[in-house]
Amino acid sequence: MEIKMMKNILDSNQQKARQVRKRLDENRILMLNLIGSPGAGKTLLLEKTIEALKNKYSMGVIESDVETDRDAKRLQRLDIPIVMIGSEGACHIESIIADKALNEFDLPSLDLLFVENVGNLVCPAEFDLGEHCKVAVSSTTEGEDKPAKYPLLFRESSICLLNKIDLLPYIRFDKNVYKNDLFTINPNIDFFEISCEKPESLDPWIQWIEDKYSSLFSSDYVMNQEKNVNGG
Amino acid sequence: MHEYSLVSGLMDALLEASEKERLAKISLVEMRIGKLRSVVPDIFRQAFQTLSEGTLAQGARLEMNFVPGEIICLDCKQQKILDQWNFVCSVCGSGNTELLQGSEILLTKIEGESQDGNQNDEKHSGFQPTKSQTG
Repeated sequence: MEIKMMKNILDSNQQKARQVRKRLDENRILMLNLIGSPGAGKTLLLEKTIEALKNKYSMGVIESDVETDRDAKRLQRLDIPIVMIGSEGACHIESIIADKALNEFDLPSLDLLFVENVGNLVCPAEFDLGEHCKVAVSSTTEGEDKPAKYPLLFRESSICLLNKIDLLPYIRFDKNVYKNDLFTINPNIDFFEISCEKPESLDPWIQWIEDKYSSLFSSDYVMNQEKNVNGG
Repeated sequence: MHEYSLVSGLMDALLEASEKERLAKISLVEMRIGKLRSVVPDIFRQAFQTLSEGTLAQGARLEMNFVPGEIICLDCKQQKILDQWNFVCSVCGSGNTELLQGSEILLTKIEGESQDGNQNDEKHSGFQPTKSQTG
């Protein structure tokens, strides 16, 4: 017996991702999925980002690591809700895990939700968690060939942050090669050069988040501003 | 190792199809996989052997057809087969391009024995491609 079909085998992950997105949109939450190598600077970037936005937005973090809760502990001092997912050896998170993590938050009180994905440039790019945007976090210390070597991530991401730009005088890194490869793979990707050691360099990234939030949920933006100011 | 996650989804699809079509045994599984997916054939095959063990797909032949990426320029309408990850239109230089194929991962055919013992039917399953499967 021969049965022909066109069945997407990622269907169940994508269906769950759509459910996650629906929950996020119903609660007016922007979810950003940060993906990058181990050591790219995702956790410090999150620390600085949350510090910068704390007075304007109510935020939460989904943390995932193969082992330890060290990243979650670093973020705890920021006094925001953090849900730690022990990936139990998995190299990426899938939407069913993201959906379960959402259950641990008081969703109506949140504006922004960051996912710090497992440190990995390969697998996390394949899986939609229901996020609004994937954020590629790479760093100068990884070399200029990362977009060329791991194109799927940079293709799937809405924005690429090149971190540790302050180290350029001390390392070999050809920024022209990096940018040429990046914009060949994804001509429309937003791109910022940042350093978590230089807070002012994060301003475009912070503004990008605010613009993204207001473009999605503009009718509620002012209401949330008032809610945060009044501590409600 | 994400091949194991992908094959887990394949197994769900195979079991769903088997129940719907009343299959007793699967002998062939045919896939269409876009080359823009980071799928390593040997790992995918190994994952299939591992995860199909003890199921009605155990021992089935796995055929994987890899298709190249193809884009269309939304400005000049030129289509291009991708041999590298170059999403810039080679005719007009626009970055305003859209992927037509190359990121799908589809189950396209199952062959097997029906529970009713009929091996000669050809059917088209009601499974339809979902919106996001073709990139």
